[in-house]
Amino acid sequence: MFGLAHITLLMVVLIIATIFVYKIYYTYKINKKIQSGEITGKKLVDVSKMVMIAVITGLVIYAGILMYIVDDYATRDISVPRNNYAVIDIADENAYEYISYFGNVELIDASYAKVYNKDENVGYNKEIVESGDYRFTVFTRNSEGDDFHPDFLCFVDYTGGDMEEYMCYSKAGFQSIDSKDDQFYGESSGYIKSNLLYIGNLDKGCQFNITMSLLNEDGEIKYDEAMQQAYKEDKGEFPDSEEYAVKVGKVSIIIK
Amino acid sequence: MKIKLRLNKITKESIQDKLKEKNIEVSEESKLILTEEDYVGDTLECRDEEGIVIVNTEDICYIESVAHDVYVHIDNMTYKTKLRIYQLEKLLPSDRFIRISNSIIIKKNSIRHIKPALSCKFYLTLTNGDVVDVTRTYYYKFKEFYGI
Repeated sequence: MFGLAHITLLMVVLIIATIFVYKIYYTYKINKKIQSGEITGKKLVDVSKMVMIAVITGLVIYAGILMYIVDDYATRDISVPRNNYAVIDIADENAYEYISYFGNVELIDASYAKVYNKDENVGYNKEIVESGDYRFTVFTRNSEGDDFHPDFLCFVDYTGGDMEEYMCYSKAGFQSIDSKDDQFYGESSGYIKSNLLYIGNLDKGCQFNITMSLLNEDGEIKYDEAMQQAYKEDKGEFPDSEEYAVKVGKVSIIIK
Repeated sequence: MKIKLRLNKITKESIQDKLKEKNIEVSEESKLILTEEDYVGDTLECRDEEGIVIVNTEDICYIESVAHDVYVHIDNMTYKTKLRIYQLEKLLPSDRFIRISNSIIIKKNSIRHIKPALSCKFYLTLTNGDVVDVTRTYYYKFKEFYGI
């Protein structure tokens, strides 16, 4: 596939070749005319003019190609892999239900994820992380990515006690490994769900963080108050549910 | 009355009409000659180390001005002339000689090879092997002269 650098190089080579070929032809023609002594007939375009014509024509063609590339790129439906992940509730193995998704995932039926299981997935490395009251079973691909398989899967299982004792504030998002700035994340809250599957794509140089914060009633009230205060102050700074949590389970996923 | 003209081209053209008005016939058979100072015609007076040399204009390859001297190149020989380049440009037949730069006049059929440059210049290899160049000032005049 030709990149922009290749096209630029090709245009330069073409222009130089055109000038070079014309110069040879022009030299041959004028010498022939001079030797024959013939001064009539059509005059040839000067080499200097041909240089100008070749350069201008080359630039026009190059501009046309650039416009086509830019137009094609602008209208392309670009899926940003790092914004493409889904959270699926697999408590019921008959119905894989989407809880939330972001990005360009168009399928509503999450049962496509049934092909993956918690024990083993071909083409993936497995790792189990126990954190807080959660067990994270992480699968990361160990080969080149493609359009048909996600970069990572993370089965999230609640291993704690009473599921109604706490409310779960879950946060998931992408972060640059170098800068540590949050680049994109989604947050949700509700009753603790026992079997969740995070499935998605991940860029090199990024990590995907999942945080499951369990808040009791008191924590929730304080968190809510802090949130209202933040809205009032309107500084764009909001409290983190993790700070008000009784227990926190978290995992970071990186493609190695 | 008949008269033979030995004049340079420009003078000849201006005189001929006037002679006609005066009923003076121009004839090559006449023994009466009207000529002018510095008339070149088919020959050119030059100098070498030994003295004066009369050179046929047909034998000239090119004429070059270097510093204050003007040199006439003929094959492997080089002579000096006292005329200036601008004078020679007027005196020599314009259909057989052309000025290609501020310092060079060449004969029309003394070019062996032309090499065009990317800018408005030509490099000429002459029949005696010397290489001279047509400068930008004389470029289009040169092209017109040779029809290229």
